[in-house]
Amino acid sequence: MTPPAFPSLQVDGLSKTFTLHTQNGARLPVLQGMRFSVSPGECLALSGPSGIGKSTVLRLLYGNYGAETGRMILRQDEREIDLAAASPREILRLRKHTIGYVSQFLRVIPRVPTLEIVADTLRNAGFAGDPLPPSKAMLTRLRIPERLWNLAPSTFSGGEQQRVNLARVFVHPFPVLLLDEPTASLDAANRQTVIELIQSAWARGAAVVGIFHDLEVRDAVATRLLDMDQFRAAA
Amino acid sequence: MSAAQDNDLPLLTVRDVSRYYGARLGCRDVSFDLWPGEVLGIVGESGSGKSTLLNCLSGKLEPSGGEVVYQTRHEGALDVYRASEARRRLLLRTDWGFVHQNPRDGLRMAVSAGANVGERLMAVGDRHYGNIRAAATDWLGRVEIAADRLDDRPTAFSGGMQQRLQIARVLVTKPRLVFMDEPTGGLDVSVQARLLDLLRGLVRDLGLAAIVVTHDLAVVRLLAHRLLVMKDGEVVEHGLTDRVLDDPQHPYTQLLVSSVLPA
Repeated sequence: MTPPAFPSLQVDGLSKTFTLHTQNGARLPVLQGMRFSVSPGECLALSGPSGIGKSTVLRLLYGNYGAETGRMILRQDEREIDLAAASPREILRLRKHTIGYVSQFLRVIPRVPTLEIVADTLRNAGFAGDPLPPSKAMLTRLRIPERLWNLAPSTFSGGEQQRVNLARVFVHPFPVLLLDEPTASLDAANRQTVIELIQSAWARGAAVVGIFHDLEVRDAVATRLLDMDQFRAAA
Repeated sequence: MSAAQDNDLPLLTVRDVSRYYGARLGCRDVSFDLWPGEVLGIVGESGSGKSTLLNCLSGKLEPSGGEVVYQTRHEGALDVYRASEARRRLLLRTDWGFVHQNPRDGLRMAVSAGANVGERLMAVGDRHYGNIRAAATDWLGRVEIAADRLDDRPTAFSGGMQQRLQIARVLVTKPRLVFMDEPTGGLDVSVQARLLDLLRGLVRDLGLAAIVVTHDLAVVRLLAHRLLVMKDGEVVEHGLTDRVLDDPQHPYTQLLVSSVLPA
């Protein structure tokens, strides 16, 4: 397989309003006319108070939420894909190979052992070879003790679940990374490991968009800040 | 990569499928494509038309309008309801499989578990007794039924085992497309979980395409890549499973999602 070319993201006119039909049709405008771009080798940090829509942006980019208006152009291998209009099939393919998303909370298929969760990322990405050694290496790097590898993470502590979440994304060199508070419940040593993982991701050319409440982490990994206040939707 | 080439054409193309029972609507104007290896979930409450739709898609119930086109292995596209009855039956025996909610509808209760699985192989022309018995044993193992139960009748099995036997009977002929009607309905919660794990593994390992009708959102969250949400015979929402469940647009989908009791 040829190594993936470095991608870039360009977002323009992105808006999102939630309409709650079960609550008398209440409308919650979140984003209005958002625009930004991320080049290969950049880590863009979304900044602003909670509730301003930072996580919503990541979910829109991942296809987990549908965009109301606007375009989210992913350029890779001289191809352009508008994530806002991509088919479910296209989104699923991008999630396997191209876009890695570290959600705030680990959400996995129940009863699947930790090591398999991590190895599945590599299998889905078409990794040539045995996916177990690199999976074990990443779990070790994130200090998940070996005695937990064959257990499903549902009973793990918050910090352990967070690290499983990180391991299953960072095990594959995703060209695009979406990181929602990746260090929120980590101790200092693990936080340092995650900083190194993020730095080496953009250093190899990945386009990274993240939310980092921890200012120390943000200063260490972000190459640029985006103040979300300018895209706040008028309620 | 031949797999990539195969993936360029939808396995099943459904266009404007409608079914009326006299003046009463079963389902109306349903269209979608299903690709190889893709699992489509159809959710909705009882009476929403999802079972009618499944029967129309799976060659069991002729639609009042619209078409269902299947991409065969070697003979190109086949319009399921314009094909002869014999051709359609052959399709149901070979390329397609149907898992019923009630295992009794998909099994023969008077013959042994091994015969239930072997029979499907014989129906597609396998005649070698040793091969058939070996395949039956292998498949019972894959659905976690012990080899020493091969000669027992399904009447002696629990509901969960019967359902697993039905799945073995369907999958032994290596179908490319499987229809499932509430495959975990009527089972205890712990048995459901085990069956779901099994189905998820089989669908993935065999690269099966599947259409799963259920009212249980946990089932589709686990199994389906894409969802159709049905209400009053029509598709009211269609999309990526996690998007439909996390960012539902239609009032009915929002009601459905918000009605799930947290575990």
